[in-house]
Amino acid sequence: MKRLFIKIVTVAALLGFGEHTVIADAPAPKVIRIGSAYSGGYGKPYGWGTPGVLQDLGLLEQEFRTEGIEIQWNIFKGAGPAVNESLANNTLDFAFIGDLPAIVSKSAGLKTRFIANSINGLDYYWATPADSPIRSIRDAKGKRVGVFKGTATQLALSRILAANGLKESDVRIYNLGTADLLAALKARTIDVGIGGNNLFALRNQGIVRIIGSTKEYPKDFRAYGGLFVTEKFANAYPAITRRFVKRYVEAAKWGSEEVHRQGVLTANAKAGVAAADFTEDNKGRPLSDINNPTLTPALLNHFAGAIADAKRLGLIRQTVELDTWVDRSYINAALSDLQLEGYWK
Amino acid sequence: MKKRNTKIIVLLLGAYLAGGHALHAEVKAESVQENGRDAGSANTDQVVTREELEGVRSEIATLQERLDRTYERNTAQTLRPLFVSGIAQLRYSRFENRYRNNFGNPQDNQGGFSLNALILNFQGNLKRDYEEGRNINYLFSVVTPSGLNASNATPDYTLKPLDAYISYHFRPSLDPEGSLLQLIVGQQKKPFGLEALAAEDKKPTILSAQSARANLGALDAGVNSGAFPSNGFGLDARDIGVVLKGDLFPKYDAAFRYRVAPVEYSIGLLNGSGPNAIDNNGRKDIAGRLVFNAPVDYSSIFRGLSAGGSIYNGSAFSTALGQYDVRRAGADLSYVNTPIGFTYEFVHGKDASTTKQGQTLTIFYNIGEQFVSGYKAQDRYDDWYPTTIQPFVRFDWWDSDTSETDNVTEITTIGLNWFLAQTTKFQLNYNIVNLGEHVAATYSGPRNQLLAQVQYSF
Repeated sequence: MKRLFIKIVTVAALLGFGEHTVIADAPAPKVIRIGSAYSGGYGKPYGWGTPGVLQDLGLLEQEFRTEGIEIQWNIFKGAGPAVNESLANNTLDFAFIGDLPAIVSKSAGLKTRFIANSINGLDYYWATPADSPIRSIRDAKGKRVGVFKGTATQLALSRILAANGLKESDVRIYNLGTADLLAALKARTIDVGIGGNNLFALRNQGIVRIIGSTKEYPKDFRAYGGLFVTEKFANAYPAITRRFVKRYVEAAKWGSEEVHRQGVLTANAKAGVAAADFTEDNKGRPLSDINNPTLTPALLNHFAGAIADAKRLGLIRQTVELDTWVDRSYINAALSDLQLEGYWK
Repeated sequence: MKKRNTKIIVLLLGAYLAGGHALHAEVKAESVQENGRDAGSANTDQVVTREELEGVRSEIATLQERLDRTYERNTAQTLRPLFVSGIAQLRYSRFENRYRNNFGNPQDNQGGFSLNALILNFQGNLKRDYEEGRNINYLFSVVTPSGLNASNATPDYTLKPLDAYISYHFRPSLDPEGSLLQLIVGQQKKPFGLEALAAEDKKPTILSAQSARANLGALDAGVNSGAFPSNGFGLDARDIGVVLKGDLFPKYDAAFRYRVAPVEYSIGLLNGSGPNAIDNNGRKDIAGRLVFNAPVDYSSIFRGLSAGGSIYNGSAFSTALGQYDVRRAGADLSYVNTPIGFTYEFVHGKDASTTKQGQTLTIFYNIGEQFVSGYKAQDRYDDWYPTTIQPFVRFDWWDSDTSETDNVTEITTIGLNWFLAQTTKFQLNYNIVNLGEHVAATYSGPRNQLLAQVQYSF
């Protein structure tokens, strides 16, 4: 038994030593690992939205090429929860995720900084099988409702239900991923599905009928998301983090110019978002509103409300201090360097 | 699957066209401006003529007919959904030189390449509940028993049934927030122990723990003919019977897609005569296992901490002993929180009047993302998969008769697993064998051993 104890201590010490070795002055990383929850659900290795524009333009690759730093894009089929899982396992440096998963991960103790906007109010839609008698979300009481739990959509659903006098317990909620939700609507194994513009394709085929959207509700009901950096990376590579955000802002500026509308459509199409769907989804919105990378009051108010809702609904135990989570230094530096202060309203 | 998808797409397209929808072809001319990319678009709408539409319909009808015939002729079909998979192990083994000459037949002791095991699985569902997952599933698998507890050193590549059971989920299996309850009937693993219940492709070491193995006829069955000290408990051998398993009070962390049930249980009523055999005594054996998992969030440092206990009460029959009691009790502790983890297992048992016991401690470290499930599910075009290297060390003690002094066989394994593709791992193990004086006095066979194995599944 004594021999066993010595062996265990030796191995544990070796492992512990390896884990806690500190490099005083970290050289440039070999790779910058980016995770995006904004998968189109079609297996294409591109994310949609402003991060998709950044990816499509290849600005980060240009920025860090001369130093030999690899840019690794990881587009997660499992959306926000999968990004959280990867962040918890130290496999990512930057993450583009929606409100709820970001809040839950922060509440759970993951050390991240909220440094920019990545979804500036994207609409949700809810759909039923085409011949369903359900005409509005009010009719969903007691029915089967599909939602991707753990993502920003879950919080939106609870708000939509509440606005219609319903609680989550009034419906039978089925946790379904992006592709599974579409399949369940097709197979009629759910009565209502809530999602994004990916529902349009099924509607166009006559398979589902869209019975509502957040367009009919206050803007705060929409999806918001952020760009997050791990504290570990930001502390080790502050200059690289600043350069990363500067390039992100450049991409957002490019994507905010109406002259580049076709380019924005192309970038989103790579993730599987059809140009017609993007156009319909964002009808009447200028690109500068869609691709705004700044930490706007609307974004932060939304996150503050989402934190309160998540706490009230029991989705988080510890509240999140938004003021200490948000770090404006990177976005402010980028706006200043690029002389873009005041560009986005 | 591709053919099926193609068929569905063709049918949908056909239905769309047959529905009389006006078809407009949109031709987009891209103008290239700055960055060689884009700046605007010009659209030209062209109306399809009825002749053109009829032509498309005709082509679709032809394609559909061709697809139907190809499907009927060239596609294997089954009565119920079937998923075929398999595992193969290709092994190289070499014993330390100083022991090789102790053998009567040196040729047997060189070690060498071997085809250790082949497992072929056929599984699917007999009844599928799309809404709640109260499915009736089946599994039938066959194995070449050479590497799986072969009873002697002779290679045996005869296919024999390994698992053959059906299972029914009494409770919904699609709801991660609900508890599970499943009945499994047929030939299956006994609900006992930690390592013995691990899937073949999840076991860290090439050789199972001494206590789990059914027969220790050689350090590496199939390679040499040395008679090694004694039999293990045979915990990883299958048996025939009924097992009820489930969990209680599950906690689901949706933001990490992490489900943990604080209590898992399983209880089985089994013949106790082993796989592919009829009951050889008048009593049924009972096995049970209870596991407590730390009910914490995914990000908690205690995620993956589990403590379990197992019992087995039964009887066996041999010509020499007649019918005798078989008793087993086990306790285990594991902590698997990537990248670090360990498992510890203690098993104590009695066969007739002989008391035996074993302990196994395995410590490992993962370098890579093999065990981060969300990370592996990415949108990628190519055959991408994160590779992982898992160095480990295992200490394995076995006492085949606790009434004897200095009777412990200790095997320390230093090794690594290299997960080099989605379902392929390369394993390298070096086993350092220390025999107690009592064992060494009766055994002069091979000891230290280098093992290399490629295990792939499909």
